[in-house]
Amino acid sequence: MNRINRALSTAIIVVMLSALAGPATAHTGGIIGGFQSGFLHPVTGVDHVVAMVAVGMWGGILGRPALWLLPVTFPLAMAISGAAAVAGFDLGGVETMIALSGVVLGLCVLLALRPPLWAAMTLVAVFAVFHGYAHGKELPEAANPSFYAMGFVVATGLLHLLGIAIGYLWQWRAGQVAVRAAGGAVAIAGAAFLTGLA
Amino acid sequence: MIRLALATAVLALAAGPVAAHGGLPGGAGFLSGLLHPLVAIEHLILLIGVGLLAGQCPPSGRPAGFAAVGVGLLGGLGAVMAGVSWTWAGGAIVGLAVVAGGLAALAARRQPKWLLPLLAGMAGLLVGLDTDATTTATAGFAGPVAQVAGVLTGVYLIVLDAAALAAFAIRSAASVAPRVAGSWIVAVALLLLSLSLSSVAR
Repeated sequence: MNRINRALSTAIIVVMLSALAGPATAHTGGIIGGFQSGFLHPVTGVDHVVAMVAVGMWGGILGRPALWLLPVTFPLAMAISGAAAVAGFDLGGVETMIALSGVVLGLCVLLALRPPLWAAMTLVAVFAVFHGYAHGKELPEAANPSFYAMGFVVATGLLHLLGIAIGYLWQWRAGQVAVRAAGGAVAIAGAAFLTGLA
Repeated sequence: MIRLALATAVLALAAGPVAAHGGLPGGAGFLSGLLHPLVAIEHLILLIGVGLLAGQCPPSGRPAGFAAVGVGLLGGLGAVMAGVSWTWAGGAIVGLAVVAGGLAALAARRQPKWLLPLLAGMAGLLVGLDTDATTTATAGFAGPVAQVAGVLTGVYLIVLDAAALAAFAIRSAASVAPRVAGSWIVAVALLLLSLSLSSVAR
């Protein structure tokens, strides 16, 4: 009976999701269009992606409570700076700081740095300000600003969760090598953006 | 359980195109009521926040919270039907979403017993006050009643789905997920507040 329920609910999800696919692409200016463009903003920028994933991985290395405090700190700081961007505040060096966030957070993972919790949260919050500002700057121009906001917050959070999932590998010796290697890759990607190679 | 919750949520979302072809008396009213909390983003984030909070509470504390949502909602809808209007309900909903999301992120497992029913009741009341159930195109008694039933169903779908997913997550390897999702609620609510303030300033 359980197996039937599981198969049935999976089938319903698949059918309904494919039924939803049509309207999703047709109404790009509406709710789904706004959510979609907001969701894609952090996902399509590699400099954003690597930094978000690094936050999750670093949380995975540090363990509780950093495991959830870092991914909670990030969207809160990001929202405050996003709101500042909407209000018209100017912030310089945004792209540089976003690239630098990849370098620094990647190195934190690569070297498995273990600073005090407040220091890790402060570092993450500082970088989140610049990521949030970049997203928030495009918010008022979005087709549906409210759902755009929801889209980029959800995408950012999902990238953190992806990082946390990678960070879970830290409990195994081979996993630690993989996580450090991923951190190194993030740092290299960040450096490429910082120096203009990417 | 998680698949059934997802299936229910997806079914509710998929109801959109059907709304245009309501063939039963009151059917269009029910569907527009059902969709209202799903497409009104302020309502959606508040109700998800309440659900995330409820899902992380001890199971014995949940029924009072779930009941309070319905009581508050019916009170709010009834007040609107009686002619009460409160223009700041939308802003209060976003403000309460910050509180619900913040609690879900930071203190969901240490809250006093009275907090969830109070917050859930306020959430229901505000959502009700911000929903006009008399706008259905269907004339007569069937329209508004069906729309109220639709709103009630939509609200419970969101709250119960979020609570079920949170309760499932805290017992699994993804135990931090409800806390992280709570912070998303706060972030979206803060951005909505800034958007509405900036539009007022213009």
